[in-house]
Amino acid sequence: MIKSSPKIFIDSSLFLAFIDRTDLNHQKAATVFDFLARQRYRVYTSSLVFWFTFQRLEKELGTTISYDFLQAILESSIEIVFPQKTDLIFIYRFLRNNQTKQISLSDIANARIMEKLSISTILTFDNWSNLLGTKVSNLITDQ
Amino acid sequence: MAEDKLHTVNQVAILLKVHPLTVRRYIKEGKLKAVRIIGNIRIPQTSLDNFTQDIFPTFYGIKKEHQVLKDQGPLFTIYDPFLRLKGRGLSLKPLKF
Repeated sequence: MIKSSPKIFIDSSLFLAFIDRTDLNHQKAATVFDFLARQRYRVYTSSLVFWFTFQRLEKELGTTISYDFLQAILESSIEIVFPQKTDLIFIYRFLRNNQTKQISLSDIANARIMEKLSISTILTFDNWSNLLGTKVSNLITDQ
Repeated sequence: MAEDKLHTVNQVAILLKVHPLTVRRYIKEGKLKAVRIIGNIRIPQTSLDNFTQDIFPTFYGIKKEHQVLKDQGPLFTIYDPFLRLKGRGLSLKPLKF
């Protein structure tokens, strides 16, 4: 029986740390990406992460790098998942029902996409509230 | 209605790509409105239009292919173009002392 490749979701903090060599987590991010490539993971991200990363790169590193990022991500096997209308309805209801928890829109959107794709782990250097049964990958926590 | 084109069961079966018995079942279940003309079943064009309006064809082949892609999407390898971006940027964050 062929063992399917593991799936993982990537947050903007990892992209930024990988590209920006002055980032405190740059070395960690480089090691993680190298591991993902060698272990032949299926890598996913969301359109929200993509837009946010692009904007941050454009603002902090300049347009050349941001365009290079755009080109690389288009050529890459990293799959960008776009939330559908049903996802937005779910996100709205979730945020309305959990107003006191201060959950960000992008976090719940990413968690929703992960849930849909049956991805349980995320790679992020930011705080993650383990939404919808998801958790931060031990590739980050073990380092 | 006077100019409404009428189809036989077999003609509708060919149009819908189903067996004539399936068309008869649709008529029996009331899903497809039909008329009897001296004992013969005829389906008006408007009835057929109303019936097909509510149907969204499911492309099984495409769905299956999509499912395969979803489950066996492209693999991230050491040759991935994204890896070219490693350490390309140098942000000018203010230094903290």
